[in-house]
Amino acid sequence: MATMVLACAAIVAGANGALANYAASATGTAATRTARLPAGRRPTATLVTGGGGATGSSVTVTWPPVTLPSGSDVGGYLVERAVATTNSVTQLCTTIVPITGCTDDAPPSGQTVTYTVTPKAQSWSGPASPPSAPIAVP
Amino acid sequence: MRRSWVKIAGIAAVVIFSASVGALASSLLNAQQSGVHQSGGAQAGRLTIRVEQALADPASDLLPDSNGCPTVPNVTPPTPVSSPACPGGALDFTIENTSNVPVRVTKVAATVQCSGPQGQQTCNPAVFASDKNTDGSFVADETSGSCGASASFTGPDIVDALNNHSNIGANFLNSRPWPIIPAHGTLVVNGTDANALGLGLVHLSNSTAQGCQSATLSIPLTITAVPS
Repeated sequence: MATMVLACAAIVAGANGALANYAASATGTAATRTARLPAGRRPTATLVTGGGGATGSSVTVTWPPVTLPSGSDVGGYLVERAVATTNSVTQLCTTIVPITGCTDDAPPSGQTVTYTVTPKAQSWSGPASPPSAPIAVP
Repeated sequence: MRRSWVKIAGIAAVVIFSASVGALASSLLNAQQSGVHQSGGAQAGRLTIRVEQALADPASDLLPDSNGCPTVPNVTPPTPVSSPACPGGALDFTIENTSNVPVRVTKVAATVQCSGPQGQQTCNPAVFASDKNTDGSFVADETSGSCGASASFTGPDIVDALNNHSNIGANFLNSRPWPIIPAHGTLVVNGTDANALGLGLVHLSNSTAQGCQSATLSIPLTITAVPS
């Protein structure tokens, strides 16, 4: 009788052990989409006179933050200054979030300048913002 | 005499019981064996799962890896390590358990594909397909875009009851037990589901072109599951 019970147990154990070794597999396609960086938003440029800097003036640039479609922050921003008469563009500063402002300590005297902001994330850039309102540097 | 009858009845009961258990075990074995490597289709008594593509998340955060993200040493093709500093992105798909028993997922891997003439075939894990080229143009077939070459697959890191890791050092963003799918249940895998099975499964190289923004990437995966 004991032998029979042991035999039953062995059958059950064998079945369970065998089940653990069986597997089902299936193949299907998984997908994802890469991020799309948003465009920068128009910055506000404010002239500060008599405050210092090489030309005696400086410009404070601030801008609203932008986010990825999920709501996550972008990595940072690139701010550029454009001089209308010479068509030259100069990289002014790069910031990392959450900083959304920087100061141009050396705006070219006697020129009209605008500023744009470009969102950055890792090696990618979003479209640049529309230019700020022009500022005439004294 | 009465004692003898009781003894005979007892032995008979044991024989009937053991025969029943044997038959049950045998039927279970047959059921599971017939389900090995099934690729779909619900059939009673078989262990089967089905994997289907889900819509790619339009609000994805998948960005190129930062400069200096490590890869697993001595592994080909290069396998990025998924960490908070180098998170990569999630893959979207569903696993449907078409069986009558719960199953536990035990493996998620890029499907191995073979090419070349018979007898000289070379087999490699599948690579990502894309609907965009690096110059930002879309391709008509939605799969042959060159952006796919910038993407790589990193398998999940799953821990078992003994705290053994399946892929330690490569993807500890989703280090947790393998998910269990109830009978006839469906597991939706993405970056936000409770199992986090999809987290960190795809990475973009640091040099991924600007034109690859908003590209759809896809890859065939082979999912393995066992009775839970």
